Amino acid sequence: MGDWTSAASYPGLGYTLATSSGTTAATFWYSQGGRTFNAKQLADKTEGSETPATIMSSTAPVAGDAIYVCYRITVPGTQPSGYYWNIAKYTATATF
Amino acid sequence: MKQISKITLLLSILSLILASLNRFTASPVKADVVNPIWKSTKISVSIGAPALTLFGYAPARTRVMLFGIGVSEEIYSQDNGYFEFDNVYLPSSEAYYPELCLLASYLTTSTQPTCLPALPVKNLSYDIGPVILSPIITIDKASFPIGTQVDLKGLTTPNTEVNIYMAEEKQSSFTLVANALAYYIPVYQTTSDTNGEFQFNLPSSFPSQWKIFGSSTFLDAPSAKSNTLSFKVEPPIYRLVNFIKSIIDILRPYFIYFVIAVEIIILAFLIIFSANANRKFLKKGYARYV
Repeated sequence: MGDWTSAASYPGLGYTLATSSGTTAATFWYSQGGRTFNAKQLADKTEGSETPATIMSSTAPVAGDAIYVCYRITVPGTQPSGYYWNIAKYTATATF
Repeated sequence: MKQISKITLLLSILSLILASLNRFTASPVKADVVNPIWKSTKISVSIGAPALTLFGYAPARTRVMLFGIGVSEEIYSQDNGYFEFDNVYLPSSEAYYPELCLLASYLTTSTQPTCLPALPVKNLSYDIGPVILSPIITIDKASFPIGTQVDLKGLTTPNTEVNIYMAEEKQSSFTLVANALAYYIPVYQTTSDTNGEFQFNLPSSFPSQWKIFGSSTFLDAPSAKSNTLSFKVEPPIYRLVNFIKSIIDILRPYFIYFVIAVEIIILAFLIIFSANANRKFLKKGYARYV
């Protein structure tokens, strides 16, 4: 996690969060720690076998809680032109 | 004695209450994680190259083609008719990308092409949609006699309202000047089934000539019109005329042989006729000489 403003430090795709509605807060947010765009790399499950990250969670029953997810990309000057894509998978788990 | 029985009764009720409380408090609630649900989203970017994303709805399970100058792509629409062209490369001239057209085809039939105007080059990326393609309609015959039941069959997005527009050409039996094209246009409605198919019975109770096309309404927006088909409802005498026409059509490839055969017959007739004439002439001449 870091300030996703420079391709030199954080090249590529990142995401950040912001609480939208309800009582459930996002696990981190874009301006956290006074940063301009506090972001994080998506967990790479396919190639890197990384653990998925939790973006919101609640121990008490909630309904209609929402958060914003915003993606950001930094492009180095040497990046070849072309079309780039990624798939982000959201999993919602209920506990009874 | 009565006092003792009352105390026993109270104690038994109390023990029951305590037992029931113990049952609920002693057994801990077990947390179960039920089937998680998931949803994927695609994040894409085009760097230094123009790209187009174009989505919309076409007749279900049809081949959807996107074409223009330097652009040719095709995919199949889903069960609900949804299609999406992702990352279409756009060759550019100085100011505009090429005009693009969409067409959905099924077997030998197709929708009417829906074309998008040329987009300006100022943007590298375009996300366009939803484009709603027209229904596909077909008729088995172009002409049929009165009283025949003929269906118009069609294909569009599932569970969709389809408007059928029919234009009847008004024919006058005798005119001194050329006919103006006068049409009567009733509109009928039908709804496609879960497969996107619909049917419509064509009118055949009186001799007439019709043009017919369809248009669907999907996502509260009208589609483009389908191809226009023509059909005729003909009087019974046309059955005979059509029979003769079909015979002629069958014989048409052999027409040259027919002409040659007729010429041979005529030549043979002329030769026989002239030979008979010469024979009579010789007989008459000989008799006069004798």
